[in-house]
Order: sequence, then structure tokens, then C-alpha cells
Amino acid sequence: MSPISTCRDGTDRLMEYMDGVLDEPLRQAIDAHVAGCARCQAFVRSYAAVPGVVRDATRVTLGPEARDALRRALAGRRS
Amino acid sequence: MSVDGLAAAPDEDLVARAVAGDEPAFEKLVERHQQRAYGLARRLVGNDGDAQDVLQEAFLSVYRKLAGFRGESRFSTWLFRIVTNAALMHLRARARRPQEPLDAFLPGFDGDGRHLGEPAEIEAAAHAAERLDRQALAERAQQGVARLPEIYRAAFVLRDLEEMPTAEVADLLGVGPDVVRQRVHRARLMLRGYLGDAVEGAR
Repeated sequence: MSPISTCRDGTDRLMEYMDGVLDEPLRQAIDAHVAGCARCQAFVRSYAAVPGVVRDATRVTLGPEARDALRRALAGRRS
Repeated sequence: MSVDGLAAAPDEDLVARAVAGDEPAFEKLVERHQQRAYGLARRLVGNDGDAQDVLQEAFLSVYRKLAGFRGESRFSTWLFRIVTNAALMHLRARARRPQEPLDAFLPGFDGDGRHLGEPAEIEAAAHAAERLDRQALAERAQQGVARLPEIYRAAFVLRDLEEMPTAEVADLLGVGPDVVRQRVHRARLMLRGYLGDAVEGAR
């Protein structure tokens, strides 16, 4: 029996799959399962989207006032 | 060294000059790295005021410890370690009311290990940027990151949001790469469900 026979098995290994650290047989077993499973294809799309979506949505800029405050705080406490 | 010379100098040179007492060199290091350091602090502590406090604490710590920086890692990695530790200390000192965990948003499976739900629902998180307005998405993403258990949050923020290599995150957090991957994986699963739930709710 394949080490990856269910959606749950593949889901458990998805990070390792995407990081490229899985053994080749496991990798192929996941590929084979996902190729025939619409739910896993949908799952992989949503899982893979998370880092980029959250990165873009939590991007912040340090404004000029905050930069000044930092400069003053550092200058005051260094001396 | 001229101002132009400072701007072009690599971090290592600025560190050496700052250790020797060159204040403009230290200021240049701060100027160069403050935006990314702030972004990291903000994602870890979840609000602007605390992030600015963490940023100040971290750079003061850098100033005091600079002479001990041995250059075994890049300056930016060393700085990130200090910012991360300052942020985690800050969170612990605040002892905030524990956030309701995101376990309810982990994926569900039937008795045979198959994903529950239809593909369109399963995929929902992939469409968060199109289906939610900018403000709603920013709030949901921030809340989601804030509700991650602390050890998952640090690994996820460093690896997936700051895009550091897994090995570097492992070094920074003092754990093995497998542990980093496991924590990032759990965080992604939780946030995937949390974002997907908001997308489904907005339909």
C-alpha cells in the first residue's frame, strides 16, 4: 500500500513536499494522489496561497515620525 | 568616511566602525535595517505602539552587544534574532488575555481520511485577496497571526512573511529544521482555515 493513500496523509506532508525535503517515493505518491483528487488540488491551492496573502495583508511602513522617535530614543539612551 | 562612503559600506564594515565608536556608522546601520526590523516586530506583537517599543529595545540591545557580534551569521540575521527575542519578551511581559486558539480552523477529514467539503469551499483561502476588501483582509490576517500560538507565530512570521530560509529560522529559534517546518505547517493550516472561513462568510 502506498505511504500516501488518503488526503490526510498527503496534507500531513505538504510542508515537507513544498520545501523539497521528501524522499522521491513519497513525493511521487503525493503527486499520484493529488492528480486524481479534486479536493486535494483545491487544498494545495489554498495552502500555498497563505504565505503570500498574509504577507501582503500585514505589510507595514515605519513612518517618518516613528523614525524620528527611534533616532531620538537611541541618541538619548546611548549617550 | 564620507556620508556617501557610509551608504555604500557593507554591514560588516559599519559594525566594525560602530564598535570603534563611530556614531554615524551605527546610525547608518539603524537607518538601513529599521524598516525590516519594524515589520518583523509589528507582525510578532500585532500593534504599532508595542512594535515601536520593541524596535527601540532591540536597537539599544544591538548597540550594547555590538562589540560581541562575531560575524558568525549575517548582521541582519543577528539583528532579527534580537528583535524576535525582544518581541517575545514583550508579549510575555504583557501577559495578555490568552487568545482563543485557531484549532477550530484546522482542516477536517472524514473517517476514510478524505477532505471534508466541496473543492470550492476547500479552496476558499486562495481567493481571499479577490473576495475580501483590503481593510477586511488586513484585519483578518492580523487577527489570524495574533491568534497563532506563540511558537507557531514566530516560525511562520520569520519563514513565510519575512521569507527567511528554513535553516536560518531554525538557527535563529534554536530548534531543528524539522521543528520549524512542523510549526510553519501548523500555522499555515490554521490561517488557511481562518482566511477561508472569512471568504465563505463574505459570499
